[in-house]
Amino acid sequence: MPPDAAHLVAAGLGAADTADPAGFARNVPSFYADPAAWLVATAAERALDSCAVAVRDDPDRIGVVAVSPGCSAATLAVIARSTARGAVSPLRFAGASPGVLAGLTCIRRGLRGPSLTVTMPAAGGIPVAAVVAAGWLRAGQAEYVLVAAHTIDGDGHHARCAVLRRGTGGPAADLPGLLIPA
Amino acid sequence: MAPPAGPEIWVTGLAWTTPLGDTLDGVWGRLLAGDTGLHPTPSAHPLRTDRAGVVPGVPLDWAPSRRQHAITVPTLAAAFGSAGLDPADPAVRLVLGTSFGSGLDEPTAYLGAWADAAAASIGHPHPPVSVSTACSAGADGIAVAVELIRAGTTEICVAGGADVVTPAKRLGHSALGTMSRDTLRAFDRRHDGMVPGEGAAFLVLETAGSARRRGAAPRAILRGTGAANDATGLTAPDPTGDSVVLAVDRCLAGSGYGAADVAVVNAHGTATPLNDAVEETSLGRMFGGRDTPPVVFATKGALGHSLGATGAIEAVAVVLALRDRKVPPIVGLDEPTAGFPLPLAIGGPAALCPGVGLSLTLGFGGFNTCLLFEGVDDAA
Repeated sequence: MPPDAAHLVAAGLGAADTADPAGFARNVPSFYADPAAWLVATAAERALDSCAVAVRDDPDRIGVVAVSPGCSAATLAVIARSTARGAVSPLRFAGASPGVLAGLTCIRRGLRGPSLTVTMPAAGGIPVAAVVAAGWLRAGQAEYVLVAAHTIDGDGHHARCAVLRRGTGGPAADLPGLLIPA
Repeated sequence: MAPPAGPEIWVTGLAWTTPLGDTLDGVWGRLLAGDTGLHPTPSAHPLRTDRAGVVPGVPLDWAPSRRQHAITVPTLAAAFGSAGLDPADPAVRLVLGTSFGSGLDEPTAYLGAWADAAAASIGHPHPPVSVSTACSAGADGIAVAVELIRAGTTEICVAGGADVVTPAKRLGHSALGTMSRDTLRAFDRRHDGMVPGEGAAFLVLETAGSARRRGAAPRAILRGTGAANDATGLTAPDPTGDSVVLAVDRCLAGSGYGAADVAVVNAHGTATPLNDAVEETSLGRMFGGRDTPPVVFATKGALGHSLGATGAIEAVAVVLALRDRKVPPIVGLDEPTAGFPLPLAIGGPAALCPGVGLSLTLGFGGFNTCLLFEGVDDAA
């Protein structure tokens, strides 16, 4: 792991697991985001709420990186079917962007740090997320960075999120171990 | 904020494919001449406008995934070639961005598949890093590459973005009302939305040390990257411009440059009234009232809004603008919106004062990203 990433400490952790992410969705007639984004946002909010320190005091200084190979695949499939009929829901079009996996958490919690969605499987994407988070923290672009991973296996969908800060006083965060379900 | 750690990062190669062609100076010449690649383009369904900017020679009846591949692969290979690098060089890493790519028309469970396929086609040995942040994806691909280099993961990255015009994207923007009813007129009083475009662009980013060892010359120096989320909504930007200002401030921080050193800004310039208003507000806050304010230009009236590619295409445009010390006119702009606070490139190329260049992108989901380039003539 690059030196910067070795100095990341997890200040909080959150998780959300389900067979169907639609159960986590809080969409309303005027707002729609892909269900996987709601699952990630749930894990992210649980991670923020688990922090012992006042992480949420300055939302301008909190960044978000989401890692998912499929991101908004469920909504993309719905739009692909409707395209053949010549009709695309503007609400679903807006909420189908793969970037929504990071963006929804920012909207929900008012976070204005840097944000990014990595469209890769967790094993390859999490080390990239760690490097990016470490860079933002080192440069002062963020004081905390939420790194979340969305994975799918035979049990369903899983979201894991770690709130990272820069530090050397504690054990370095083993991000793949924290974010990939055993 | 802390200054950037790590080595100086040079741009040692660059390539693009656009509706105005696929050679670096050929496209640049057409942009300077005020040409447009936006034309009536067949659609099976009614749209607010039938205009689109499509890449010549890539048939529209091909599947979107095939078109994305056909645009991406030669551009990637050209980027390697322009830097004198072999695509099979294991010292290089790829970082590729797109918005939806073909995924909105051809569902897939793995959104990075297009990037993997492109890497395989050029014989590159590593899996690419793939990112998606809507219309900032090309710029964010470049920003991620910078972090990989600064962290010491690699000394050379080829980074940027690619995207295609597809039926679903045209229908989506038409339904959303972000598509013009005519054509794209950024910062013009008649502006009423974007026109879809497509293309690809990739920059070769390399440590100065690696470039010197290879004998590669810099085309520009990438001095800063910065990003901020709007935290406002999925499609509408934060009207205060606060997070755009944050992104630019973060980009300038530690770069060795301040706002007074900026000679040119490539605005996102989608021509939606909301986008143009937030850029007018934020650019005015940062640069308005200066004795020598930066000139603002935008390329989407000529190339269309290429979504996940636009951040990389516009980064190339900034590098060329710094090389030639001039920017192309904003196609579609005849009469600026009242009170626009900075000089705009209208009617013909505009000359630049000494200074550095910014490329600014604003993506759905609130992804605001800024890149800072220094021309080699400006380098100490």
